[in-house]
Amino acid sequence: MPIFEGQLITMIAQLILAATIFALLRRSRSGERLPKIRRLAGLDAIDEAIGRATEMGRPTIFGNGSGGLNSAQTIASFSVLEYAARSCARYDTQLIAVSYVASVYPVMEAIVRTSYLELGKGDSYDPVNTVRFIASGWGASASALQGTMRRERVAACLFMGSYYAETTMITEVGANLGAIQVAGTANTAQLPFMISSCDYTLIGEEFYAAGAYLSKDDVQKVNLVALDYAKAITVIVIIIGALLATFGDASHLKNFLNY
Amino acid sequence: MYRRTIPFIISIVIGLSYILSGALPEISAWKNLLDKWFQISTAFAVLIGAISLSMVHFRNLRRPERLIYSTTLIIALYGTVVLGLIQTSKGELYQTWYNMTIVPLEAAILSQIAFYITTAAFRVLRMRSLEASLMLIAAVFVMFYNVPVGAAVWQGIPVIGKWLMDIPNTAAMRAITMGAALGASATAIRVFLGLERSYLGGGE
Repeated sequence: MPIFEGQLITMIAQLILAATIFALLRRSRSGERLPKIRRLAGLDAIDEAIGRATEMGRPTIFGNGSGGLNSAQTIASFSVLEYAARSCARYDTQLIAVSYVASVYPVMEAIVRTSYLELGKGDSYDPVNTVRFIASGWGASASALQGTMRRERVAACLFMGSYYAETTMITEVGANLGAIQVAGTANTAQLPFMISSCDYTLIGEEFYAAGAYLSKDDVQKVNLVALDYAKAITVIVIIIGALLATFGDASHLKNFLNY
Repeated sequence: MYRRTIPFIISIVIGLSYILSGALPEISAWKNLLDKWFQISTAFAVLIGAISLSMVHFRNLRRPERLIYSTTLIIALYGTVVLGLIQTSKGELYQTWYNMTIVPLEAAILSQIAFYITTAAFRVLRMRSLEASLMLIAAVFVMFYNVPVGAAVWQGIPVIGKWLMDIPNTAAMRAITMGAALGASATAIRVFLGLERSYLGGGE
């Protein structure tokens, strides 16, 4: 069966990654111990931020940027939202979850509502103000988010997702308010702004791994172990490529990877 | 079942079709069809977003301190809808309305970035530690590399600035990009294996 050029190796790599996850899953279910996973300071800081908002009696704000449902970053942000919603419901802290994208809003609303209901805190969930669609378009959404943060005097800001030019505008407002800010994105152009304005930043793959880290479930953690194996293989391929390019001819490796 | 199993099956079937249509020429037309379905279903969600926005701001009408802002938003939101229905988005009044409000407002909002970047840079570049000091030195070289006066001050500045941008900066950015690509792949696989189900609305 013909296949588009450059897709075969990618597909095989994806299948190998999926098979590794399955194999680790079987190991985990048979009771074998998985490698220990290092905690990320940025994720522990989510509890710290919500705890501080609880002590101060001020809200926690969650935003997941301008990515749609077709963005892996948006999908990854939902796990963090679920964790934040459960923490806020548990401690009776006001949560404001804002969406810039109309198609993402109903999913966020369902996640937050379900989290509150499962903890028996349905009365604390405000169907109008807890999850809000603020605006589409980065300019309008940035100003709406700035206004919301200032008016509500938020004490904790969680910005997880696909952010663009608005990053500095919203994180600087959070810094100005003295809020604890935890951010995460895979948009490399925005990382410097997040790092400069936020207390903790989840960089690239750390952000994607957040859902699995936050889960107490071993089944989720096998994914992280498989991801580390994939990273190790990638590093080995890079080293081989660098050695070949320096001392010989790397074209065969390049052609193989583009097959 | 209706809330989790059926949406999960639909997402797996659509996701696999999308991946295969990107790899196999015979079914590459599926990709365009699925893109159209996505756009149509997204358009319906805009209505839900507008309802949410209206609920928040109609409630604000009862609060005197927010009355003026929420009234402005409601008039702008429904005024645009009515104008769009009467004239379509190509209409002269609709275009004037858009060009006289949204365009200058967005430009004004964008202009804030310069000030925010300055305050962010000031915070980062204070020499409080060895890392911050190294960052400050690197930033000075890169800033002078990007302006003509850099070479006039010292010929070595453009050389060092270019090296900083091309070698350490590119290496770090590529490492982050590769890690993010692997993370995105792992997220996709978690969705396909049913390990990641929060997008279905959360819950145990």
